Amino acid sequence: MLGKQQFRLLCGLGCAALLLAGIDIGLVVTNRATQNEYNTRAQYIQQSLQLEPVYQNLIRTLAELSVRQNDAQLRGLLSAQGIRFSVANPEAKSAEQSDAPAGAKPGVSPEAQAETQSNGRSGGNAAGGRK
Amino acid sequence: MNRLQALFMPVATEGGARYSTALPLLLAMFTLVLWFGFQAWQLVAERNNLKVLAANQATMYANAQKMRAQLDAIASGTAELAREGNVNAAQVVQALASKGITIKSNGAAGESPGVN
Repeated sequence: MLGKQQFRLLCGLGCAALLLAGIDIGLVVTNRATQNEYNTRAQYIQQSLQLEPVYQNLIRTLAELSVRQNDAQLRGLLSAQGIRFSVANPEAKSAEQSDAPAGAKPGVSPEAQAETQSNGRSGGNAAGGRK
Repeated sequence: MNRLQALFMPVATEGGARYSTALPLLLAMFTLVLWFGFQAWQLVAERNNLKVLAANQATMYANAQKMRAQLDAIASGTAELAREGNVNAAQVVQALASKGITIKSNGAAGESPGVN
């Protein structure tokens, strides 16, 4: 047999347990959704890292070709994406990328690096780098 | 003191000694509240950790998105130039194809598995 105080105490505890159970369920659901989103983004980043060498090689090749063959179309294609380059040494003809998401790359001239830093971020926005 | 004693001490009845149900019920409810409270605390901590991780990941994710957008735009632009007859662009497309990288017609750059 329960006394009045015991009954009230048990009811209060039951309500608290119910409330906490509801909070727990909500937290589990939101945490799972956040975890799934995090995993999806991590996978996306991982795949992008695998594409990074392709991206670098493509830009380098296009820049070298545009300089060597004096191809205005290729130069325009790169500049439309905010990628500027200059030939520091006519013999080497190394192309530099000034607005790449991965930041300054080896071989970038001080001028190009300064341009990158002036953009305020290491990963450049294509629109932000256009001139 | 009498109330506390009533929780533990049996009450003599005609059928024998009877114990109060209040104590086991109270214990069960306290345990339940304690367990749910602990779980809630842990889940809140996990949620905060996930928020920190997501915030740290945001910059890398944004950079990856920009890189892919640029790659797609440049690759599709190169393919377009190659179709229009640009010899240099055609060379690049051919070089990419020889490495197993094909540029999709919808403008997205596709890479076959195992490349790089």
